[in-house]
Amino acid sequence: MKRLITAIIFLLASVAICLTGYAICLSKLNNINDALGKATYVAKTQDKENTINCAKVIEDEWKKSSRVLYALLLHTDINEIDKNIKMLDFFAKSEDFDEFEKVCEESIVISNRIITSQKATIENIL
Amino acid sequence: MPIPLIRTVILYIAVITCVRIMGKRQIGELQPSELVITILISEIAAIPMQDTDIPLINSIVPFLVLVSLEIITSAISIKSQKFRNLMQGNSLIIIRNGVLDQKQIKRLRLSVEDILEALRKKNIFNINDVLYAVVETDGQISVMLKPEKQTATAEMVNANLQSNGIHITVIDDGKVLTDQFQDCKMDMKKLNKILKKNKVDLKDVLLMTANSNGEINIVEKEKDL
Repeated sequence: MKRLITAIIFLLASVAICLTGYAICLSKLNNINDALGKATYVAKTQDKENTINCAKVIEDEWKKSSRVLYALLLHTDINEIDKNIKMLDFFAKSEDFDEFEKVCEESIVISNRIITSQKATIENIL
Repeated sequence: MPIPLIRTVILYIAVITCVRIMGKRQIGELQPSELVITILISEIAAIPMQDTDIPLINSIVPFLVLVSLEIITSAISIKSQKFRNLMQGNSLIIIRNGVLDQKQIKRLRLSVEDILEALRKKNIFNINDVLYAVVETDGQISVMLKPEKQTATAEMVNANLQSNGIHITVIDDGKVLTDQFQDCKMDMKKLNKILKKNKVDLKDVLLMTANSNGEINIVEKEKDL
C-alpha cells in the first residue's frame, strides 16, 4: 500500500512538474516576446538611446529567465535566442536599426516556435 | 567538464531509487512488461548522461511516470485477474501426460526443439516422463514429472527426518551480524561462549554460521595470507 501511495505521489508530482514547467516557460517566453516586440517598435523610430535602453531591458529580462528556461527546455533552442539577445546591444550602439529589428523579429519567431512546440497538441504528441 | 559527472551521479541515484521503489520482484523475476520498463529506464537515463543539452527534468519525469505506472499496474494486477491476464498473459499447459498440445505450441510460436531443450535443461530427456509442462507468463517452463519418474522424497519412503534449519551467517570477516540472531537462537553471550570453547578470537573468524539446532560452522582466517 505504501508503495502504491508513493507511485501515486510520483505520478501527481510528474504532472505538477510538467504543468508548472510549462506555465513557467510560457510566462518567461511571453515576457521576452513582449520586450522584443517593444524593442522592434522602438527600433523602427530609429531612436538610439531608447533602442539601447530596450536592449538592456531585454538582456535583463533574459538573464532572469534563461536559467529556468535552460533547466526546462532543450539547450539548442534556447541558445539561438541567447545568441540573438547578446547581439542586440551591439546593433543598438552601432545604430544598425534594421539588423536590430531583424534579430528581434527572429527571436520572437524562435520563441513562438518553442511555445508552440511545448503545447500538448496532437501534432506535438505524435 | 564536471557537468557530465554531476549529471551521472544524479541519474545514478534516480535509477537506483526507481529500481528500489519497483521492488525486489523487479529484479528477481522479470515479466516481459517489467523487462521493457527496466530497459526503458536505463535508456532514458543513458541519453541525458551523455548529452548535456537535454535538461535533466526531461529524463527524471519519464522515470517517475514509468515507475508509477509500473507500480499502479502491478497493484491493479493483484486485485483484478482480468487485468493481470491482459498485462501478463496466462500460463499455458503445453504437455499433458507426455502428449504435446500442438495448438498451444503453435499459439506460443514455440518449436518442438525449444521445448525439448527446455526439458533437457531440467534433466528430462524423455517427453513421456512429463505429466504436465506449463509455459509460465515470464516464458519459463515448469515441469511436473509422472509419479513413477519423480525423485523419491522422505515422505514417500516414510523416513522420519528432522529439519536442520537454515544456517545463518553469524560472523562475516570478523564482524558479528546480529540481524538474524533470532533465526539461529543466538545471542552475544552464547556467541562469546562458543568462540571461547573453540579457542578462537572474533577477529580471526572469516565465517561462522549457526542454525536453530545449535549446529555451528567456523572458518578461521588463514594467518599467512
